[in-house]
Amino acid sequence: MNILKDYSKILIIFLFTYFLILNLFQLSQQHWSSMLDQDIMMMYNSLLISSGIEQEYRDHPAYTTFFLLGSIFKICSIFFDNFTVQEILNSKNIDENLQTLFIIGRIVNGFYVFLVAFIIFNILKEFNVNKYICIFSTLTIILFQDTYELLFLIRSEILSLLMILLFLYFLIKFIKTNEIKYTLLSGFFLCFSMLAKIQVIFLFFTFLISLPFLINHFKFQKQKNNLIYGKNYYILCFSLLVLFLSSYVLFQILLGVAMINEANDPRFYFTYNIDLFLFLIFIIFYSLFIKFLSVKKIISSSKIIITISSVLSGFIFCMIFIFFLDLINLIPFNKLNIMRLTNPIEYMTSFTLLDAGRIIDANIFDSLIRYLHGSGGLADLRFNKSYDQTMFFYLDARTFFRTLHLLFIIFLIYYSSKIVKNNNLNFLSISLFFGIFVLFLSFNLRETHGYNIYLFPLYVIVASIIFDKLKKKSVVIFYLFLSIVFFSENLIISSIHKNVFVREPRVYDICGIEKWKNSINYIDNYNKSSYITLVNFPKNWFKIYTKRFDDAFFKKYCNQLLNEAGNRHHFYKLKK
Amino acid sequence: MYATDSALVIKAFLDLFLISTIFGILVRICINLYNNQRVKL
Repeated sequence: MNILKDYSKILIIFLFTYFLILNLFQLSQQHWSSMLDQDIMMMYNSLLISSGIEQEYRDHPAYTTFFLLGSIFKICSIFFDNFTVQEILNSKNIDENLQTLFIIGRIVNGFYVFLVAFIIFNILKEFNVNKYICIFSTLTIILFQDTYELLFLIRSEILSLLMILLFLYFLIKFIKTNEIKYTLLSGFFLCFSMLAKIQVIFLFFTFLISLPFLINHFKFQKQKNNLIYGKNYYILCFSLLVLFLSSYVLFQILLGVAMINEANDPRFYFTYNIDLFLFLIFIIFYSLFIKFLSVKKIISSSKIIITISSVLSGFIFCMIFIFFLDLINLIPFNKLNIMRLTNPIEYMTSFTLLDAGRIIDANIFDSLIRYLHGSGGLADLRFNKSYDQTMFFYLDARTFFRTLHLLFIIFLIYYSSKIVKNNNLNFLSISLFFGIFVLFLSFNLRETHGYNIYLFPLYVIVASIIFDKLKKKSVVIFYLFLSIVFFSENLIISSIHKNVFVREPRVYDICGIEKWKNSINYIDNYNKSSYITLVNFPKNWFKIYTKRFDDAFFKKYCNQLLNEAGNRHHFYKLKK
Repeated sequence: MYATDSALVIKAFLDLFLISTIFGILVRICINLYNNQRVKL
C-alpha cells in the first residue's frame, strides 16, 4: 500500500515539474506582445481589477480569470511597484513591466493545467478506482493534444474546467459523506466556473443528468451522517429550489418587459428568450426522468432535490461573496456579467453567429434550426478561414480524431455492458457519454484553441470506471489504443505545436522600429496553422480592447524602445 | 425482469449513439467532398 502511495506522489511531482519546465521553456522565447488575443486581454483586465476598476472585456465573461490573476497582481502591488494600471501608464520601463505581468500570467496558467490533472486524479480516487488505473488515466493528459494548446496561452477554458472539476469533486464528497459543507463548496466552484467561461454549462448539465447514477454508484459506501435526510430539511430544500427556479423565470420575463420599454432591442422579445425556453424544457424532462427513476425504485427523488438545492445555495453564497468583495471595493464586479450567467445559451449563440457575420438576434425556432445546421457541420463558422487544415479521410484532423474518441468510448461501453453485469455503471457511463456527444455536436459549430479539453475529463472518468471492472489484459490493450490515438493526433497536427515556438513580437506593427521587424510573411505563415488568426492591426486592436493604453501611452512606449541601448538580453532576446 | 429491461435500454441507447455518430460523420464527409468539388469547379 505504501508503495502505491509513493507512486501517486511521484506522478504528482512529475506532472508539476513537466508542465512547469515546458511552460518556462516556451515562455523564455516569447515576448508579451506575441499573442495579443487573448493573452494581453487577460493581463490588461486583471490589471484593471487589481487597480480597483471593473473589467472591460465581458465576452466569456472570464471574471474568475481576472479575479485570480488580479488578486495575485494586487498582492504583488503591496510589495513591488508597477502592478497597477496607473503605475504602468507612468512607468519608465513599460516593456519590462508588461513582460513581468505576462510571465506571471503564464506561470499561473501552467499551474492551472497541473491542477486540472491533479483534481482528475483525486476524482478518480474518489470513484474508488484502482490506483494504477488512476495513475495511467491521469498520465494520458500528457498525450492529449489540447493540453499543450492551452498551456502556452492565457485563456479561460482551463480555469473553467478546473473549477467544474472541483465542483464534481466536492459533489462526490457530499454523496459519500452527506456533509452539507461539501455541496456549498461545490456550488461555490460551479459559480466560479460559469463566471470563467459559460461554455462549461454543458459539463454541468452532463453531471446533473448523471447525478442519480452517481448517487447509486456510491450507495454501498458507509455514510456517517443521515441527519440531513430529515423531513424538515427536505421541505426547506424543496422550497428553496422552487423559489430559485421560479425567481429565475420571473426575472427573465420581468427583465425582458422592463428592458423592452427602455430599449427597443429584439433580444428582449419574449420569443427570443432561448435560455428560458430551453431551461423550462430541461426542467420538465429532468423531473420526469427523476420521477421515472424513483417509480422504478432506482433512486430516491428526495436525495436528488436535496443535492441540487444545496448546490444552488452554494451558488448563491458565491454570488453574495462576489458582491461583498465588490461592495468593499476590493475586487470590482461588472454587474453585466450576471446577464451572461442567466442567459448563457443566448450569448454563446450570438457570439458564434456574430463572428460569422450573420444576424445576431433570432427567435427560438431560428436559433434551434441554426443549432441543427451547425452541429451537423453545415454552417461554416470558423474563426480562421485561411487555416490550412490537415485532411484525414475527407475530414479535418480534429473532427476525425474526436469521432475516433467517440467511437472508442461507445465500443468500450458496449464491451462493458456485455462483460460487466452492473447496470448502474453502464447507465452512469452512458449518461456521461451523452455529455460527450452534446459537446461533440457543439464543437461542430466552431473550433478554437483547446476546446477539446472539456471532453478530456469525461473520457478519463468513463474509461477509468469501466477499466476498473475489466480484466488486466483488456485494460492494457485499451490503454495502448487510447494512447496511440491521442499521440497520433499530436503527430498529425504537429504544425500547431511548431507554431507555438516561433511566436514573434508584434512591436514593429505598434512602433515601426526596424530592429523589431518580423520575418517575411510571418502572419500568413502563422495563420496557416492556427485556429485563430493573429491580430492584423495591433494598434486598432489596442483601441478596442485595451482602452486605457491609448496613443499617448504607446508613443511613450515606442520612445522608450527606440532609445534602448543595443540588443536586449533580459527577458526577451531579439531573433537575428 | 428488471435486469433484462435495463440491458435492452443500454443497448438501445448505445445503438442510437453509434448510428447517429456514423450517420453524422458520413454527412460531414459528404459536405467536405462537395466543398472540395465546388472549389475545383
